[in-house]
Parts: sequence; C-alpha cells; structure tokens
Amino acid sequence: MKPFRFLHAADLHLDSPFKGLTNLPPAIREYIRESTFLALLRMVQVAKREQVDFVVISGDVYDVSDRSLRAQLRFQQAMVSLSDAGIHVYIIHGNHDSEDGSRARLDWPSHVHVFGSDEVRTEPHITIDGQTIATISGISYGRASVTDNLVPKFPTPSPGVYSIALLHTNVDGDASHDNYAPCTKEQLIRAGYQYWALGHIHSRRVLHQDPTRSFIVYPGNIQGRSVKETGAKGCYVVEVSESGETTLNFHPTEVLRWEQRALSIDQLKDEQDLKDSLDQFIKDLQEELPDIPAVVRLTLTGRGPLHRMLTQGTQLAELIDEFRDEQTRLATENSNAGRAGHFIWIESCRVETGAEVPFDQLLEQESFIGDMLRLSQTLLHDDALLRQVCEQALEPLLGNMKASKWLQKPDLEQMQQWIRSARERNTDELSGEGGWSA
Amino acid sequence: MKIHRMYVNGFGIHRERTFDLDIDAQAIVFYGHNEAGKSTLMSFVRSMLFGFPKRNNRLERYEPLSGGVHGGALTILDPMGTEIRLERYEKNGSLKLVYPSGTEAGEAALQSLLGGLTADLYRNLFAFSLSELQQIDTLHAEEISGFLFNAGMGISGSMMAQAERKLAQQMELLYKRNGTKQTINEQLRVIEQSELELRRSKERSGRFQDWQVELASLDEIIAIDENELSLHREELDWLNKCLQSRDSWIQLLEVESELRDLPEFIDFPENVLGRFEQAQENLERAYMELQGIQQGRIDATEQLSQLTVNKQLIEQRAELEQLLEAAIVYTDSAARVADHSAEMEGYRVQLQRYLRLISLDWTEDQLQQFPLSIHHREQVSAYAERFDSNDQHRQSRLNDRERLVEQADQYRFTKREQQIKLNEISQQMDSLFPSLITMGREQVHSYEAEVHKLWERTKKQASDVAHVEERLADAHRNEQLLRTRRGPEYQRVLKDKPQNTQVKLLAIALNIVLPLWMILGLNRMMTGIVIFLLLGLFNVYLWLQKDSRMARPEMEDSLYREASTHRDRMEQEVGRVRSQWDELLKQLCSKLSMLPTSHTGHAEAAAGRSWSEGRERTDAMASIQQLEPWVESVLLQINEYMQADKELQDAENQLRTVVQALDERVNRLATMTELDSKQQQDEAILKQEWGQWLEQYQLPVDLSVESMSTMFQYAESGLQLYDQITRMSNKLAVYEESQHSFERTATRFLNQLGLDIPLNSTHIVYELKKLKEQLDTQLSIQENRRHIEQQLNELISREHICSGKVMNMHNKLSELLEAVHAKDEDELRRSVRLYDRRIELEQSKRHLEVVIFTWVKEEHQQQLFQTLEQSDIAQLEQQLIAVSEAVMQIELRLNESKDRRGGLRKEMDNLQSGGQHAELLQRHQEHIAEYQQLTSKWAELALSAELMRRAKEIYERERQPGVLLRASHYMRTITDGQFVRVVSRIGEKSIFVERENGQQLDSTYLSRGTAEQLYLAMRFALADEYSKTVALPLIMDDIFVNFDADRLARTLMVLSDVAMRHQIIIFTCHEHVALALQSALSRVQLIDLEVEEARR
Repeated sequence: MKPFRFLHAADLHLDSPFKGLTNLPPAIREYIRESTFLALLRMVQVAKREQVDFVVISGDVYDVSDRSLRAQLRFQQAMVSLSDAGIHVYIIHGNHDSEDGSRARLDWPSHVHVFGSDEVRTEPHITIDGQTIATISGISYGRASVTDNLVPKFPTPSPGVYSIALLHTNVDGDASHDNYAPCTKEQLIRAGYQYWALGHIHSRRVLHQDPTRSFIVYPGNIQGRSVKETGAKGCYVVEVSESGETTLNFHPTEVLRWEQRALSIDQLKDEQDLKDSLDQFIKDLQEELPDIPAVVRLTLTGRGPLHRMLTQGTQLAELIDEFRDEQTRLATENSNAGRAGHFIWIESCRVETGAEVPFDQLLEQESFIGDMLRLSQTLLHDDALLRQVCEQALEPLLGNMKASKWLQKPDLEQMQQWIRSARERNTDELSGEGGWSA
Repeated sequence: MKIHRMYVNGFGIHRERTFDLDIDAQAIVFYGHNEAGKSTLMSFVRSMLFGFPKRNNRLERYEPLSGGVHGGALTILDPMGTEIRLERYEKNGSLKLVYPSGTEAGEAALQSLLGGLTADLYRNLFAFSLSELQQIDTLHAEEISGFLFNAGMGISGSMMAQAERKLAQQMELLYKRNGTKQTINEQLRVIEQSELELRRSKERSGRFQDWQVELASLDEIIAIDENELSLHREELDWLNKCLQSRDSWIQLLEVESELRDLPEFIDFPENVLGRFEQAQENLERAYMELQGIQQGRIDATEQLSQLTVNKQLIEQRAELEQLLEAAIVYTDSAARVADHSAEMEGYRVQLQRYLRLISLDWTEDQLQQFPLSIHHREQVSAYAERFDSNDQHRQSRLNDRERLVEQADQYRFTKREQQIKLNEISQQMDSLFPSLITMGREQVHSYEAEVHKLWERTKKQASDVAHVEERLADAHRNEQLLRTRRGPEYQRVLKDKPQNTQVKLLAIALNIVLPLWMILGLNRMMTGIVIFLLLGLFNVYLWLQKDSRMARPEMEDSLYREASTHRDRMEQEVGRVRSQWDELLKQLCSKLSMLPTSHTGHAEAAAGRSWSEGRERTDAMASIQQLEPWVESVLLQINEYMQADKELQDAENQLRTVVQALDERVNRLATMTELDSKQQQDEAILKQEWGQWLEQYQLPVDLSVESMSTMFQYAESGLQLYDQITRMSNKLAVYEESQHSFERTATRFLNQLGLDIPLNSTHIVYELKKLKEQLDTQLSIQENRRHIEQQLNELISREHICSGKVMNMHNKLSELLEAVHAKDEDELRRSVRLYDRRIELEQSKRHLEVVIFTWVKEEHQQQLFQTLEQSDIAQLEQQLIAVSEAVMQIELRLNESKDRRGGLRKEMDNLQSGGQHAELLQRHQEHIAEYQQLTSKWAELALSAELMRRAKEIYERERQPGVLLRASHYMRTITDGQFVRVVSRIGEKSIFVERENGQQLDSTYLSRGTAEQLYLAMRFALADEYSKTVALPLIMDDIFVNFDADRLARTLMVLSDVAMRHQIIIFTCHEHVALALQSALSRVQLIDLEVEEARR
C-alpha cells in the first residue's frame, strides 16, 4: 500500500458573525471578522506545505442562513488555490450549509468533490499514476435539520483500500450541540471504516483511536468563534503509512484565540491590587500567546474586600475600559502598520465574587439569610428545581414572544451562575453590605 | 435581665421611693388603688431604660409633682448575675451604668444589655397596658412584624422589604413586559431594527441568483436592442440622405433634359469670340498706326529742307579752339608780369637797408665780395676764443694770488701759537720730571722694564721664602713631636747628629708611604714588587748607616734623626732663599731710589729693615706689602712722564708742519708775478692780429670780435635778397616773350578769316570769343539736321512693317470664321452662345452628381434614384418621422436596461465583496450579545427576587411558626383548647386563630376578652422568641380586667411558664387579680403601694 496523507477539517463557518461580543472598536472588529478567512488561508497553506494528497471537509463550510456571498466566493478562491496545487477536496454539507440552503451558483474546479444527500457515495482517490490509495465515502445534509441516524446508510467498505467516511454528526448526543444525525461511537466503529472524518462538534476530539483499524475524529473548527470555543483550533493532517497505520498531526490554523480565565480577589486588598493583578494577567496572557491576538472572558472570583467595589459603582467598568483602550490602541497601531494585530481584548469581566462574610456560618444559621442561602444551595444541586425556579422567575421575559426570541436558552451553568450571583446580592443586601449603586 | 431595685427620686407622684424586688419571685405584684402610682412606676421603668419622653408629651413624662429630681435609678441583674446600677435623671439627660467594680458606662452598654431593643418594641412586647394590648396594629408595627419574621437574626423585615423594593426597581429599569423605555426593551428594538436591515441584506444576497439570470437576460435584451437600433439608425440615415439629395436630383433631371436639346460641338475652338474681337481690334489699331507714320515722314522732309550750315567756320574749328586756350594763358601772364615787377622793387629797397646797416660806404659789390664761408667764420670764432682765454687766465691768476696771500698770513699766526705751546710743555716737564729728563727717553723705557722685572721677581722670591719657611716650621714641629716621644736622651743624640735627619725622615716617609701605596695599588702587582724591593734596599742602606753611628738602631731614633736632618736641610734652604731675596731687595731699592718720590723715605726704611733684619727672619710678604706703594708710585711717575713726553713730541711735530706750509705759499706767490708779465705781452699781439684781419675786408678796424656774428647775419640776408632780385628779372623777360608770340599768331588767324582787327590784345581775345559763339550755333544746326534725317529713315521702315500687320489681321479674321463654319460675325456669335450654354449645363450636371455622391455612395445611387422616383417628399418625411420615433423608443429602452444592468452589477459587486453584509451580521450579533448581557443581568435580578420570595415563603412556613406555634400553644392553654392555632402571614396585617375544627377566625372578629388573650399569647410568644437574644422583664399594667375567672386562672398558668424565662411585674388595682396571682404562682412578691406609702 502506498503511504499518503490527507488533511481533515470541519466547521469552517466562514464569515459567520462572532457571537457574544459587544462594542468592539473598528480595528478589532475588522480583524475578528476577517479571522475565519485568514484561518481558511492558513488551512490551504498547511495543505500545500504538508503536500497532502487530498483534503476532506466534514460540513459547515459556511452558514447558508447568513447568505454571505463573500464566504462562498472566498471558499471558491481557496478551492481554486488547492486545485491549482493539484490537491483534491472532498466535501459534505452539514446543518449550516445543507443542500437546500440558498447559495450562489459558482463554478467549482474539477478537483472539488461534493457528496450529495440522497445516499452515501463512495469516491476512490486515484493518484496521478492511476493508483487508488483510498476511498472516500460521504453524505451531505439535504436540509438543516437531520434527525435520522445516517450511519446505517454507509456501506461496508471494500477491503484492501484505506477507507475514509465523512459525516456531520453528533456522536453520543453532545448536549452543547444540536443533536443532528445522531449516532453512537459503537455504531461508527462497527461500520468498519478506517477513518471517520467527522464534523459538527467544534471542540477537537479523537473519540476512538486504534491506529491499525479505526479512527473517529472531530478536528474541531479551524477558528474559534465565541468565548465558548477556547483553546487552539486547526485541522488534522492524517498520515497513513505503508502498513496502513494512521497517525494524527494537529496543525493550528486559528488567527485569534478565545480564552476564559478566572482571577481570584481573595488576596486583593484594594483597587491598586486589582489593577496590578489585571496588568499581570494581561502580561501573562501575552506571554502565553506570543504570536496570536486573543479575546478573553475574565471572571473575578473569590471573596474579599474588593467585592463591594466590584458590585457597586463603575470603577470596574472604567478599569476594564482602560485596558480595552490600551489594547485597541495596540490593535489600531498594528493594523495601521499593516501586520496582524497582537491584542488582548477583554470580552467581558464577570463578577462572581462575594463579600467577606462567614458564608458557612450563615448557611447554618436559623434565619432568613440562612434560609435563603440554604435555598440557593438546594437550587445549585437540584437541576430540575433550578430549571423550574428559573422558568418561573424569568417568565416575564421568556413569556414575551419578542423578548424570548433573542434569548439564548440558558444552560444549567448559566442558571447556576445566576443563582450564585443572586445569592451574593441578597446576602449583601440583607446583611447591610449590599446595595447597588443608587 | 431582672430588676432588683427601683429608686425613684422624683417621678409623677412618687418622690424618694425605693422598691426592692424579689428576684426569685415568679411574679412581683404592685397592688394599689387608682392614683396609687402604678402606671407611673411602669412609666418610670420604661423611662429609666429608654429615656424620658420629650417635653411635648407631658402625659408620658411624669414630671415630679411633689418635688425631687426628675429621675431615679434601677438596680438590675444582667443574665450573668452581675448587679448593675442604672441611674438616669431628666435634668441633664444623663445616664450612668455603675458596675460593682465601680466602672461606669453609658447608653451603648445599656443598648447591649437590652439587646438592641427599641422603646416601641419594648412597650409593645415587654411593658404594655391594656390599651396597648388591645391594639392589634401594634403587633404589625413594622418593627415587630420584621422581628416576627426574622426572629433570631439581626435583620429586620424592613430591610428585607427594602431589598425587595430595590430589586423590583432595578428590574423595572431594565425590563417591563410592555414597556418601551427600559434598557432591554430598547435593546430589543435595536435588534429588531438590525434584524430588519439584515433581512433586507440577506434578501439582496438571496436575489444574487435572480440577478445573475436578470443580468444575462439584460445582456441579451441590450444586445438585441442595440442591433435593432443600429438598423433603424441606418434607415433613418438613408431617409435623411434621400431628403437631402432630392433637390439636387430634381435639378439634375432638368439639366439632363436641356442638354439633350442642345447641338453637340466637336473641336469647337477655344475662346473663339474673344479671339475674333481681339483680331478686329488689332486690325483697327494697325490702320491707325500706318496713317500716323506717313504724316510724320512728310513733316520731317519739310524741316530738313529748311536747315543750312556755314561749312568754312566749322572747318577752322580746331585752330580757333587752340587760340582760345592760348588766349587764357596770355591774359593770365599779363597779370603775373605786373605782380613780379612790384615784388622786385620791394626787394631792392630791403637790400639797400641791409647795406646801410653793415657800413655806410658798402655797395652791392662789396657785399658780393664779402666772404661768408665757414673758414672765415671759424677764423672769427678762433679770435673770439683767444680773447676769452686771455680774460679767463687773468681772472684766475688774480684769484689764486689773493688766496695764497691769505693762507700765508694764517700759517704765520699758527706758527707763533705752536712755538708758545711748545715752550710751555718743555718748561712743565723740566719742573716735574727733572731726573727723568736727564735720564733721556730711551733709558726711561728700559728703567721701567727693569723695575717691573725686579718687582715681579721680588714678589716671587717673597712667596718662595714664605713657602720654605713654612716647610721649615713643619720640620721643626715634626722634630719636636719625635723628640717628645723619644725623650731628652734622644734629643741629645739627635742634636749631635743633625746631619742624618733628612735621610731618616725620607726613610720614614718611604717606609710608611710605600707599603700603603702598595696595599692600595694591589692590582698593579709588578709595581708593588719593584717598590717593595727598592724600599728594602733603602732600609738596608739606612740600617747599615745607623749601625755605624748609633748604639741602638731603633725605629723612632732613625725617624727622629731623619726629621732633624730634614730640618737642617730646610734651614739651609731658607738661608739660601733669603740671601737671594735680600739681593733682589737691594737691587730693587737701588733702582727705585733713582727716582725721588713721596714714598721714598718710608720705603727705604722698610727695605732697610728687611735687609738689616734679614737674619732675624723678617716676614718677606710683609716687606713686599710695604714696598708695593713705593714701586707703584715709581711706576706711576714713569707713566706720567711718558704721557707728557708724548704731548711734547706731538707739539714739536705740529710746529714743523706749519713752517713747511708757510714756506710753500711764499714760493708760489713769487712764481705767479713772473707769469703775469708774460701774459700781458700775448694780449697785445692778439689785438694787433685782429685789426689786420678787419682791414682786409674793408671793415671798421675798431669792430669787436663779438659784433662779427651780427655782421655775418646781415651780409647773408643781403646776399639772399640780391639773389631773389636777379631770379625775378629773368622770369619777367620770359613772360613778355610769350605774349608777343600769341598776339602775332592771333592776328594772323583773324586776318585769314577776313577780319581786319588792330593788334590790340583786348580786341583779339574778344574777336576770338565771338567767333567761338558763331561756331557753336553752326554746330547745333548741323546736329539737328542729322537727327531729322535719322527719324525719316525710321519712319520709312515702320511704314513697311505696319502694312504687313494689316494684312495678317485680315487673314486671321477669315480663319476664325472658317473654324466655326460661320459666314459672318453674327453667325459666329450665335454658335458661340450655344456652345457656352452646353458647357454650363454639363458643369452643373457634374456638380449635382458630386453633391448626390457626397450623400450617397455610388453603389447606392441607383437605389436612391429608385426611391426618389417611387416616393414623393411627403411620403419620405412621413417615413422619417416614423423611424425616428422608433429609434427614440429603442434608445429609451436601452438606457433603462443599461441602468438596470449597472445597478445590478454594482449590487452584485457589493455582495461579492461582502463587507457591508458581514458588518451587518456582526453588528446584529453584537446587539444580540448586548441584549443577552442585559437579560442576563435582569435574570440575575429576577432570580434574586425569586430567591428572596421563596426564602420568605420557606420562612413563613418553617420559621414563623416558631413564634406562632408558641402563641398557639399559649392560646390553646388559655382558652382550654377552644382555639388550637394562631396563624399570621408576612406582610399581612392580620392574625388568624383556628378553632379545633380548623375554622380560622380573623382576630378582629373575636370577643374583646378572647382577642386580648390572643394578643397576650402572641406577646408571650414573641417575648420568648426575643429572649433568645435577651430576656427582659415583662411588665403588665392591669391587663386581666376583661378575663373571666377561668381564663384568668389559665392565663396565670401560662404566666408561670413564661415566668421561668422572664421576670414578671404586674400592676393591678384589683384585689382578686392579686389574690389569683398569689394562689396561682408559687412565689409572688406583693407590694402594696399604699401600705408602702403608709410605711414611709
């Protein structure tokens, strides 16, 4: 068997807007908006540099609902570039770029192979010297919402040739993603393909690896798109040896890193301490990510004298604005200088701190505060009750058609965070600590 | 806390009263009738604990009525059993807590004792009268209500309510279901707006496909329309051309028809009419010319016949002209003769004047004989020089003589002076240096040298003497030294053998010095050895010598001997040197004494002493010093003499020189006198010679040589004048001769012409001139004739030519007529007209064809003509209008299509670059993010409120019953189970009681007594709850008045229970109450206020 290598990427989401960001200064917004395209360019560079035989893309190249013609055109350019380098590309459509979606009629190079949604098609990859080194099977989504298990549609691969299967799916029902084309790991393993090139889940995961027999891989998206998509993003270059042994090499393609970090106020005495530790935090992050700008969500935790300042007044907001201004200046200077910005943008600074109260003591107390704290503890541990309480409390908002339309369905973590904040707020208020700004 | 003692200083009716309370009693009962001061006491306790009411509340203040200071003291026991005295007086509002240790404290300490209780709460819960008990509201006072719900914790219900209100406010600021101004509502609108924009943008994006199709169809439509448009435009163009060329076409048709009617001319001559007319004209002109010529010939012939010429005169023309030229010279020479004669006379007069100037008897002859040659002139100048030199010699001799006489006088004077000076000097010298003068000049010099020499030698000798004497002294000292070492014995020996001293000393010296030298000079071994040997030999010699003379040859002896010999030798030496010195001194003195000086005596004394005391060893150097002034004075005297002598010699030399000069002058004067006489003779001879020279030329003898130069000038001028006169007279003769010859020739010529003219020169010239005029007239006539003859000839030849021309013209005319086949001129003219018209029509045809060609190309002309033939102008114009309209419509349509296409392309470009759309998408997401942040904030608030609400519910359900359960229990006891439960809700101002059957009754519907029992039960329960913080005494003022006996008894049972936790103080005016208490409770302290009062 001839050794070869291919690139596996998924969930490009070209030109999709970035969620959860507000009030971005122009220089940073511009950079972030271009980031998916830059990541695509990097992916193409990786393919060329690594001299892969072909590229497989497991769905969600762009969001058809966004109707971004630009995304389609840029993708077309990238495909032409790969085609010029003699690299074939095998593509399936996912829920975001399902077949029925509206898209521009564009001419695609002959090197690009797009799988249909009717049935699983199998394409042999034939090298220039006429040798079939692998077969690539795949099926696209015909519509955005595919709830059927598509795995059974995959035929048993013919032995002797390295078999790759492309599927956009939620394996074992990951709750943080829509449960499309659900299937189980077992089913995938049983299907007998040597490499399941999956898409849909944005975090990089190797669900199963048996170097000689079967790999099930989510490469994650090539560029993080929200603060929930943290960590390095990129694609896999899959090396298949003469003996058919498979090895994975991760290649980062991201041009912007998303991070969530926490900072405890336990040891901080005053505002200067906070400023210093924020300074240090930014510095540390810059050192950690020397080559790439980042958007970071900062969460202040712990208990300490600063809590009052953090929950009252605008000092924290002013401080964060100061840091943002500095980073904006950096980004603007860089973008003026014509090179990629190297900034650390604080997406938001969440305050999850508490006052210096004897929390455990209060929790034990036979008192209203004690009751309230105990209730909050109960809620934090009773998900069902938490959901019920939240539904009830948020009814004015959730019950409003218009208002609820734009609401992100709160997840448990979010609800728990709310409860924690509410608990602290009420404790502050009732113990005389509290009070928001008038 | 329990009250142990009450001390009233002044409060209401009470003054200076003390009540000691039994702290172990279950109840303390103050019994008294009305006005006994029960309520006053209760108020006193309240005032003590919480301060006096304000002045505006007089009723409550209980100011002292019977004197005393408003206030008093309580002695209380805190829960730990510490006794604390509490003093409070209204006067200064002061409060004092005194502890057993003596330390004092204030309000804060009291507050902590009271567990932070307020006065109202105290009054409601711990110290109430019947009126307060009856008021249900008091139970719902915010404070109590809060206390009710948060019993056991430091927060109040109001705080909770405030927190809830705050939350609600915050939430309302953020969001309201149907609100518009709330932040979230506003943000919703922003999102909707951005969504709308986004939807539009997406629609545009969605239409991309349609636009692509539309664009393609537009391209097609535009292509078709453009094609159609170009066709229509072509037609329009054609019609325009037809219309434009129509007029020309009609003209062309007309021209062509006319042309067809005209005859055709072949080889029609060019410009035949012009040429014909020209020929006619030329003919006429030739005729005219011919006539003119003929007339001229006749006139000329006539003129010629009238003109005649004098031929003789013309033949004599050359001779006449010669004579006329000579006549001019003749006239001119006559004038010159006159001029020259006058000038010659002037010269003669001038000549005479010069002759008279030279000498009165001089004539022209003498003048001519006078020699003016250079030779003669030089003779004269030689004489002049000789006279001059004689004069000069005479003068210089005179000068020399004068100078010599003067010098001789000068020298004579000097001579005398020098002689006097010389005498003076010699006399001076005689007096000053008589001895030296006698000595003579030469000897003085040698004498000086001798003195010098002797003096030097003496000085040297003196130093030698001194040196030798010193050495002698050394020898003496040495000898003395050796003698002291040897002793007198040896001295004697030494005295005997003084001759050996020198040898011995030498030996000693050698023996000491040589070895030392040897040791120092060890490096020079050989020298050392040689010296050593020599020393050895010398010592041996010495030893042998000594041996012969001395008994004891010891070293010291030999040394001594040597020393004494050395001394002896030195003494001899001194003697020798001194004798030399003395000799020298003698010689010097004798020399010096030759000159007598002022020092002479003294010096001689010194010299004499030195000399005489020589043997006494006078100090030679001292003698020298004494002699020095003498010697110096002698030398000085010699010097002075020599200077004076030199002066004398100089004076003698000068005198000699002066005498010599004087003699020379005297001799020269004598020689000069001789020369003068010889000179005078020479002068006389010269004068004689000059006189002879003058005589030779008949000149006055007394004429000086100097006047001869003037003489020469005059003679020269005179001779020049004479020469000029001679030249002029010669010229005059020549002129006169030429005049005569002319006159002869002219007379002869005139005679030849037959004119008898007298020989008068004036006439001759006149006649000649007249002849000349006649000749000129004749010559002009002759010329005129020749001219006319020439003209005549010309006219004849021209006549011939002109006749030829006329013939030619005739021929030409006939030729032209023939060429156009015309018989006569009229016919010719007609033909020409027809020909011209044809040409004109053909031209206009060509022009029209060109015009049409410019509109329509040749290949389409046929089509054009067809069209024009088929349609008239109206039809064409109609067609034109129709087609233009069609064109306009198509253009309009095309523009629209193109605009649409441009718009589409722009839109599509926008979509493809995608920036705008992406921006909208991103902004939309940002709005949503902001919205979500806001809603999250709201959710947090909503959950805070929800948490609060649920906690309250829980509290009401689980915590509140702590109080109410106890109240229920008390109520059940008091009513003997008629009412089993007391129910209350937070925030609701009502209390419910539940009957055994579960029926709930609002307290307002209860009977007065039952209601009071309920409220009491509630207060007991609350007081119990409060006792978790601090247990205060319960003070009740006659509250059992509405209780029936049964209920009272049951109430007192409850009271006994309560008394376990609180001190109970009851005021009552009812005896049965007091008795009931006493019977119901095991230990009751009864204080009868009246009895107490009486006891005081």
